[in-house]
Amino acid sequence: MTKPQNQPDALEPLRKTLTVPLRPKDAFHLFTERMGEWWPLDSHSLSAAEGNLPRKLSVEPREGGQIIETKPDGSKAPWARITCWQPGAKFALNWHVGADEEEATQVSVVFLPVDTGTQIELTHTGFGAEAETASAAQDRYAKGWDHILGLYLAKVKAYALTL
Amino acid sequence: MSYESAIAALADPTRRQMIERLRAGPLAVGALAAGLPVSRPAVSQHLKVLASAGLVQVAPCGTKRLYSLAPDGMRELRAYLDTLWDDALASFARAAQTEATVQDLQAKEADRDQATKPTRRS
Repeated sequence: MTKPQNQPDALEPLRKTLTVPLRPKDAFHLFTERMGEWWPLDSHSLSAAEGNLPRKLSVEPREGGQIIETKPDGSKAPWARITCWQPGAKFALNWHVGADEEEATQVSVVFLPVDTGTQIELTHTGFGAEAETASAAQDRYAKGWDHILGLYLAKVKAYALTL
Repeated sequence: MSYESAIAALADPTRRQMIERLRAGPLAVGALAAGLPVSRPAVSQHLKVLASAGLVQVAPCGTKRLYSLAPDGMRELRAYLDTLWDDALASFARAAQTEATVQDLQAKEADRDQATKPTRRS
């Protein structure tokens, strides 16, 4: 029943790669400023967890800008803070959907030109593998729980709505 | 899927309260039950549900049994985000394909306009 305290394999950065038939400039623009056009809002949004569809998803296209979900009642829920903004090349986020901003994990997305278009490399870190000290690891671990509890509570509310 | 069973386990307010208490550190069942508005057997029952959902783990400590949050909280978060990005990037790839098709059509249209221009002029 007892599991080991450290499971670094599960806490390593998450990496995703895909290639799209667009120039980096266009791929970047579609990915960021036009995020609301393609993000699966019906399944992956705070409104969806409450059984609704968001009114919109907006991206403030600059360093320090935010990704913000507008719920059906008009209230705004920030998802992430943009920490790096290099149009056509790279952007990075402090990702904190369902949790406070200081509990963010880190997402970076790099756009590389290739023969067939653009290769996109997404990296999501902050799960603890890179934690330097025991206290930092504990801190990240606690933050993970805050995030998970936030997601659960949103899901539970959605369940309650269906009862 | 344990994500779903965890949601079901956390649908109960007493169990959520117990999780909140365990975030401060491991506790024996007596300390965990203190102040909760339910009987100690009920607390034990709740702990069983939380443990089978993978949210809480138990370790013997002398004659006591200590309950703590399972480190899989992080694993769950990562698993959730893994699915999130798979879904989101698949959706982005479809949008990018559509965008590329539109660009292609626009380019062909521009070529055709270019090709027909001299004819119009003459």
